[in-house]
Amino acid sequence: MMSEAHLFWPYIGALAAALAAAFLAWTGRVRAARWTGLVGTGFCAVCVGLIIHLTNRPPLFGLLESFISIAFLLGLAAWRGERTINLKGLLSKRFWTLISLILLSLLFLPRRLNPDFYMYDYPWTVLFFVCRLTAVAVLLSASLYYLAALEAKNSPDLRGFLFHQGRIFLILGGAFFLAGEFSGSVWSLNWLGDFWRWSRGFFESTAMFLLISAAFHLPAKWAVSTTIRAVFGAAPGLLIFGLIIIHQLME
Amino acid sequence: MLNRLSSLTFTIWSLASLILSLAFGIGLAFSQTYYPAIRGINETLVWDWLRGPAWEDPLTAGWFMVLCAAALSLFINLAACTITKLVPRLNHRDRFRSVLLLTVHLLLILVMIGHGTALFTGFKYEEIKLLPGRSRELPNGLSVKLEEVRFTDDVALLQADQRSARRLFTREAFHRRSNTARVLVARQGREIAAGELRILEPLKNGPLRLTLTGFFIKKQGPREQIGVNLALSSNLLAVFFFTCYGLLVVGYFLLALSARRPEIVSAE
Repeated sequence: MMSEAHLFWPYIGALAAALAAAFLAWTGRVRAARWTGLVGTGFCAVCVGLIIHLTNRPPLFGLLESFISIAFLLGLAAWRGERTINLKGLLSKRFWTLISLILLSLLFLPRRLNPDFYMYDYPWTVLFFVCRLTAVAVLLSASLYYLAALEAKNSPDLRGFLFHQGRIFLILGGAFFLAGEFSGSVWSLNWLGDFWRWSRGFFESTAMFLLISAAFHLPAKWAVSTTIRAVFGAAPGLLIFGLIIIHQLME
Repeated sequence: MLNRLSSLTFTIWSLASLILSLAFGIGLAFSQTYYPAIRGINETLVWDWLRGPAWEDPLTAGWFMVLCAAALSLFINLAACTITKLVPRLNHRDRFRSVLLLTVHLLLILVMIGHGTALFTGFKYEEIKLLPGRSRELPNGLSVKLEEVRFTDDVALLQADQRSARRLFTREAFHRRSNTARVLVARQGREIAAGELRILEPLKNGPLRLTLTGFFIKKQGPREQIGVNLALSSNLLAVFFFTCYGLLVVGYFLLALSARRPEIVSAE
């Protein structure tokens, strides 16, 4: 009989590989970091597969499900990040440090699957959570690109490339975020009778969408500053991740 | 004037004021003192709330007015920017992206209009708590009658507080398709809609929507009775809103997919 205890060893495998990838990236062995990271992402994929097998649904909510899912998606983004371009680990070291921290935090938190809430068989509910978690991972990837651009201050080409890639991640993250909000609106309409509620969740989501929008609409005199651009580009990902953690801890 | 209203500086300050207003709203929703007032906004149409209950708590009402003013300033900026910047951009070399960008902004305008008009049109009555056989007359002349409740799961579930309900209401313990309520909506005795309701499966008749939001248990003398919590609403623009919102999501994905790939560089 399979249980959530079976998640432990693939999780440990993912954590070990992520830590090794972060170490290799920080010590300049970017190629080795990529391949080690891919192994870690593979272990995360096994965890995601096990969660689906155990619960008959994708990872949706709760620290274990969210963190594993986000780590898996970040791992894919990290693999893509320096696939064709040698960025001397500018991205790898950030991605694998963040993934390591996310996975490491699970060592000290309860690694339990979320109770199987009765609405988890409703497609709009599932879509809401899946899009929200994907948005968090994509927006966090954008944050890492923008933060990497800060380190590339003396190389305008590289900085421009990182900003541009970060912007694409930000738009994609915004798209997933909006898709989640759309699903949430349908869910809310059929559950509570209205397509949005005046609540903390609604205020947070709207503020998040506006924050993503702000990064695309900086006045010219602000946009010339690498630091201001990086801060605005990195903020949505870091903030939404913080909010996710707060929400899960308050449950 | 139009140029000033469409400037990015105005955009960023409008966004900042709206984000700060929302942050204040988060604070109000967190506070035990103001949470009931925030929750109260949902119980009726916002226009009805503004004409009465809102002013029982002036801070929440004042905050709401500031929030609306900030949203209005962003709306004006969005419209002005679309006219002065995005329409002329259509002659730009990259026509597809220019059209896409314009479309996304127009859809956002329509979504904001959908949100805005929902505050003032139709009607909404929440927290209609009924026991079997009872009915409720609503201020707009409609009445809702609960004819029968069928609850097949353990009634102990209904005694759980909101926090533990999340853990207890599992798919195994609560079967949402088996638990139903038979209801009737009428206007001056004439039936408008009737049928069986389930959670997440509202009763619809045109824009009218009767939603079963939950079950409750009440002691009636020596025995316990199971009742339901209903929401009756009508929003003429719901279809319009969801169409625009859906297209906006598609537009956003297309924007991401159509982004020009930057030239490949190396850190070396």
